[in-house]
Amino acid sequence: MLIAITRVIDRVSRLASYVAIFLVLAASMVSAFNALFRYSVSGLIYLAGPEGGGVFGAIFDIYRQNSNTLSEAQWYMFTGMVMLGGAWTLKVNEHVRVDLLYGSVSEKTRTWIDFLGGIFFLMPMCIIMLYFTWPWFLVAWNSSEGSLNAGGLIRWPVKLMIPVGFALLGLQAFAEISKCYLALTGNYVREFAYEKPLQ
Amino acid sequence: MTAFIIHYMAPMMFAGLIIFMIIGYPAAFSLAAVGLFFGFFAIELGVIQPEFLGNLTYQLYSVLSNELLLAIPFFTFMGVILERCGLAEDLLEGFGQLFGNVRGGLSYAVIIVGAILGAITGTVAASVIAMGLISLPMMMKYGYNIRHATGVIAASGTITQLIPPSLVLIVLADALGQSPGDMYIGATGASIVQVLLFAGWVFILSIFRPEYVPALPPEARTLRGWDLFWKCVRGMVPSLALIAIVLGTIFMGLATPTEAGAMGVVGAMIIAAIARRLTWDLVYQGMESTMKLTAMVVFILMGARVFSLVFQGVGGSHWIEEMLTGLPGGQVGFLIFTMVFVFIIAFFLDFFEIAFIIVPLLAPAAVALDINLIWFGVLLCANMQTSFMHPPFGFALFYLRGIAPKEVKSSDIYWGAIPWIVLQLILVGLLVAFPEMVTFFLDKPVVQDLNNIQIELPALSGGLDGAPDLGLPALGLPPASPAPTP
Repeated sequence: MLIAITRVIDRVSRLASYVAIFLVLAASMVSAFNALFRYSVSGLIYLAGPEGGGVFGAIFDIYRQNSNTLSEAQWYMFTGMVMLGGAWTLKVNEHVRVDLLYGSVSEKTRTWIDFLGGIFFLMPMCIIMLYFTWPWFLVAWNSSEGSLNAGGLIRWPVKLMIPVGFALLGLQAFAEISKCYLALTGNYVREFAYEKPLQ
Repeated sequence: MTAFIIHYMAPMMFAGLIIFMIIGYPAAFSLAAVGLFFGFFAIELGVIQPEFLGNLTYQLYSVLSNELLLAIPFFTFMGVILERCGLAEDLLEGFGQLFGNVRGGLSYAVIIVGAILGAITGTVAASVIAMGLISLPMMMKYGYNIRHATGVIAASGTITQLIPPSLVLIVLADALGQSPGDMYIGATGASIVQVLLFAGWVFILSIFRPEYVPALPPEARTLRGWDLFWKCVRGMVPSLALIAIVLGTIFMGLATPTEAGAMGVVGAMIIAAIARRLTWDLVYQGMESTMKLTAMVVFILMGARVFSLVFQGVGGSHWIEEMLTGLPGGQVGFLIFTMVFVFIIAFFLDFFEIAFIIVPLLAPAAVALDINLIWFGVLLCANMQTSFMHPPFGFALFYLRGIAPKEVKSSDIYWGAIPWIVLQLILVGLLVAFPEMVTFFLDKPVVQDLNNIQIELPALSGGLDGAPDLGLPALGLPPASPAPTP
């Protein structure tokens, strides 16, 4: 039963992580496009001539009206990358640890560390963060808070991402705690052994 | 009793952090949990107001809306793509053949390629693994001393940390509140000196211990004339073009590091496409590992912000600042203390943790002592490089162990690292003695443009709303303030 629940949670985190993974590509492309366009802005102004207008002037105007949308979209995507990817990163055990002790103790002790750490560190943190960030999202939602920049994006989606991310992380934390519990009481084997992260 | 606890809240919090970090639960969550625990404890004791913790949301939001940190996924993504497109192979073979006929030629090739790879990929793992796989067997075959061979490969891989555009410098710039462009310029001089130091050491060896670094026999140099030339060109041209795009635009003030990183991603894809290695599989794997690294790093940063919010609330920054500025010897005493401290703590923490947790604690004291923060950052970066080389935990040695042939003993890898750690410490010493190595390039007027780019950032880290507006840079110059569309 508990195993079934952890599988469902793993699946949910995986789905969220797909979004986060594709945001990496999307954010790079949007940012590169934005930068390339900025390099060519002076060229466009030159081509459009002193009065503006014409094809180049029109392109320039479109860019000018949308550049803030693009640059804000970049960090919206960054937020998505982090908050939606955090849970999966926990699942595959890639949140970096200080492995002075952890690297040298037995698998059983590690399971105990993860079990207690999950209960006393991670779960309370997620709950407290949800408690703080959810009302904060609601304020942005109710007031339809927008960007201060012209052409900027509306704020609630990015603010929603933070409580959603902590909720996902909390769910995954529950799954990881359950896995530790199963490993400590039964013969469940945790699949992601600890490895030093690549950097 | 209560008064006693209130008075020693900050030191207790710091001790709690150390204990909880050592246990080995992921650093990001330990940091946040310690911060929150002491936060509620302090509210209970009346040290801070209950509303104080409400700032948490703004702290998190300011991390996530920081445009500078976007450079982390971009540079990582770029590195992951380049790592697999065969550039390192071409470079190493070309330079190895080119320098083959001099003593220590393969070592020089490794150092130069390490610097080039450092400038384009920015990950130690990628450099060490690529060079270890290609050069180590070759060096062993031609009779290089094994300790020297493993040492030069691991050390050249770590040049990546200091040579721009490196993630460490971006992260340090953010932690110290400096412009990453300035940080890059400052680190350029230091990384050149480092390459020269390494090459100088090989040169000394080739005179006093020629049997350690023999020249290649003529039959080993299969490429000659035009073939050799083309091999070098094939490796060099794309690398230099990419370096020019990424660093050039940052130095000229045309692009922020973030945008340059994104351009670098596109450039890396083009290079991979030319090498016919650009597959969807490669891109997807790159995206996945980039996402995991980004989430990991940013969660640490968020955890560190939660911790430091409460830590400052209970007067922690005063405590640290008093302790550090009270050190005997003023500036010099402070520098010696911090450098030794960071050197030691780098045995246990990786550089993201040092940059996010330790550096913000050191920065106010450095400011109070009137230390140039760019210089200080480059010093820290040079110092943290050694953390990759410390036996037995150094990442560079760890990666090398993973790919080295069986006949290479771990003890060889560890002993081989020692001279290079000493060289890196000499670099730190030189940087302390001659700050001009860092600041020389900074005094040029072009830097003024770079300063402008970053003017928006303080507003962001203050948690205010608003993305950096790079909307309409008049004729290529970045806007000086986040003004709405003109």
